[in-house]
Amino acid sequence: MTALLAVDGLTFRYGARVAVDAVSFEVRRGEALGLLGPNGAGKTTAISCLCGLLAPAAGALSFDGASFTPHATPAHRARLGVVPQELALYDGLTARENLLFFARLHGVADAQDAVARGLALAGLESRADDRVKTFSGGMKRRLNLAVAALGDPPLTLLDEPMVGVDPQSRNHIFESIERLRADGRGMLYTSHSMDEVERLCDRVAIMDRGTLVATGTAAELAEQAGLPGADLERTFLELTGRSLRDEGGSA
Amino acid sequence: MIRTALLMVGKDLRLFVRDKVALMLAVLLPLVLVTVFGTIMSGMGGGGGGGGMPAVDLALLDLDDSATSRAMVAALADMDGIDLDVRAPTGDADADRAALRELVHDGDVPFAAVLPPGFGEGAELRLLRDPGRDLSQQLLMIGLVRALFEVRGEDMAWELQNRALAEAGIPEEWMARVEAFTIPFRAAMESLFDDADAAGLLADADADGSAADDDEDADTGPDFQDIMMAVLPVEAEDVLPEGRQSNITYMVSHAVSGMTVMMLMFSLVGFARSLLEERDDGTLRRLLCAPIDVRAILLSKALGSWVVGLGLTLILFVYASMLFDLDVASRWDTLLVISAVTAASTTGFALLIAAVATSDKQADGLSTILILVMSALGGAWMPLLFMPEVVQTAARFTLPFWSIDAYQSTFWNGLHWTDPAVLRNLGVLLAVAAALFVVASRLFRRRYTGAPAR
Ligand SMILES: Nc1ncnc2c1ncn2[C@@H]1O[C@H](COP(=O)(O)OP(=O)(O)OP(=O)(O)O)[C@@H](O)[C@H]1O
Ligand SMILES: [Mg+2]
Repeated sequence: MTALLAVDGLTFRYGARVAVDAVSFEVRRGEALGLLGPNGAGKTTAISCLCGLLAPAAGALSFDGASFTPHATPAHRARLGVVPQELALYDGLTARENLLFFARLHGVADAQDAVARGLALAGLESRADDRVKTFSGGMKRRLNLAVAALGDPPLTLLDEPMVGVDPQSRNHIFESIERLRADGRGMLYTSHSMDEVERLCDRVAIMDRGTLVATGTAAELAEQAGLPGADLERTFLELTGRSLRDEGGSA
Repeated sequence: MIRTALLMVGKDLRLFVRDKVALMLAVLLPLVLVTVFGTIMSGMGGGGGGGGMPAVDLALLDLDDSATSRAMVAALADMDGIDLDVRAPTGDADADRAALRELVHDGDVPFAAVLPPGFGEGAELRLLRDPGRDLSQQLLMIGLVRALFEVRGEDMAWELQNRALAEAGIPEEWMARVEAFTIPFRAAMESLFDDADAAGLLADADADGSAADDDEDADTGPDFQDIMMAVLPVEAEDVLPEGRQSNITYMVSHAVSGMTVMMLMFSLVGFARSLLEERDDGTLRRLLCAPIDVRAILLSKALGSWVVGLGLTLILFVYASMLFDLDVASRWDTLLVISAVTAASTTGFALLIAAVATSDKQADGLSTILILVMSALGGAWMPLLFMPEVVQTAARFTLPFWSIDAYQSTFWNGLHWTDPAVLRNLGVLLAVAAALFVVASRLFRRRYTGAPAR
């Protein structure tokens, strides 16, 4: 079975700094791949290359077996739903207006229906006509996620979608995300929270300092790390080391 | 791409009108500035005839108090270009002269005149002046010469002749030879005029109301400028453009177009800054990830800014037409075309600022400096007429110049937008708009889309 998304040798440099260094992985149909890595590992940069914000220096992407250049071809971006790491919403518009605007921008056929489903996904039906600037952080996170799901994209890239949300919102977002990967759709999920990844993801890829350190199920990774049966957090620390990733230590 | 752009324009305009503070700044501030500047300028051009030149202040001390000196005071008081301040003599002539000198010395007035005792018998008027006031001195001299001619009448001509001869080096003692023919000549001329007057041939040069006079001259007497024009070998023809309003001075329409053009730049930079805000709040990344042609993003900013700019310009002109009686209605099509083109060029400028700047603060700082410099140089604050030649040349390299010049050519010269002179300005503005847009979109693509600029 061909992978939904195949990434081969992806490389990106900010000037002289190599942020993503020959990274290869794949996301299979109906699979959620967790992308883990310490701060500055290159997760956001890799996602930016996938969704067309950055043009990679090297590497081949293919979608459903066909090669794929998101930064050059708008049509290729239509397959992707993106949940950016920052809250990317228009504060001056209401939840409904935000959803409607992005639904139309993505050329969703029945925009009103997509908006209704988006509001339900975000659990914001009762606040639909309030401006986003009046929302709490968790409400904004839910809407941020709902915007990405608007066009029912076959592949969703989620960059830390659950920062700063309470357990109720977290639970709601979990359920929403689980719905997103139904029907054979795929998902790339980055997070610093091991239990989120353990709960949501089928397999995990670990990045550190721009390179891919290991890929596999949590159990496979524990074995690779020489800690069979260990939880993901211990495995992660074993594979990436315990030193802090500030600029001085990682140069 | 157009559909996508329009979708984004709708979003931007909605956000724009919802941000009440930004909206106030964009609309109310220009209204206030147009009001203030227009009012100041209408005051400066007031009194008509001044052609926008402010009157020259002149303090005057009449130590003669003869019929001639009083006529001189009256003539100067009537003069449009002179703002006369008559000082009452205290009886101590030396103290009065000293006080007058002090007024000039301290800068209270630029000029002061003393009509000395014996002025009626030909004693010279004494002018005290601040030598730093070249331009206003020329205006003052015109007024003084005019008043002297009115008061001294034909004697003045003979006096001038004698002085001219003396200046040319004819010694005092030879003047007898001159008088040998001038005195009989004067007598002959006087009898000629007396006879002509008796025969009713003379135009009513003294305006004592007896002859049928042109009503415009009825109360001001013979126009010195008209007499000079008739005597000098210069033929003047009045060329009054059809569209010019008599009650609107050059300064008011200039102030309105100048402020409109300047404020338009501020408001549109404010609008284009939304691009930077979208970058900072992450929504721009969302737009860039969407399956759209990324050029539509900048195009939508351009369209939105153009619509806002055109709307703002029209509001300002309609407002000015109500406040200052500016005739906007009769030239609405020309104003619309010039405004549309001005909004386009200003949009180009605003987009370039948004594409160059890397932060809100940078955009504000950069645009404020550029807008103020271009407005000052381009004549948005003060007509270029009053500026040195270097500035008049430099003005051509600024955007406001071409817009203001186009607006003034309809307000002042009554030109239609199809006139080649206006079309030239519109052409320059459109070319600049296109160039700015191309540069801005290249910068934008290089900076935000990862795709190398093509
Ligand atoms: N715009 C940029 N210019 C220069 N360097 C950058 C830029 N953005 C990121 N980097 C560098 O690229 C590297 C990878 O950053 P990236 O944001 O991809 O990490 P990340 O894995 O998403 O980290 P985090 O978990 O903190 O979000 C870091 O060293 C970072 O300093
Ligand atoms: Mg990141």
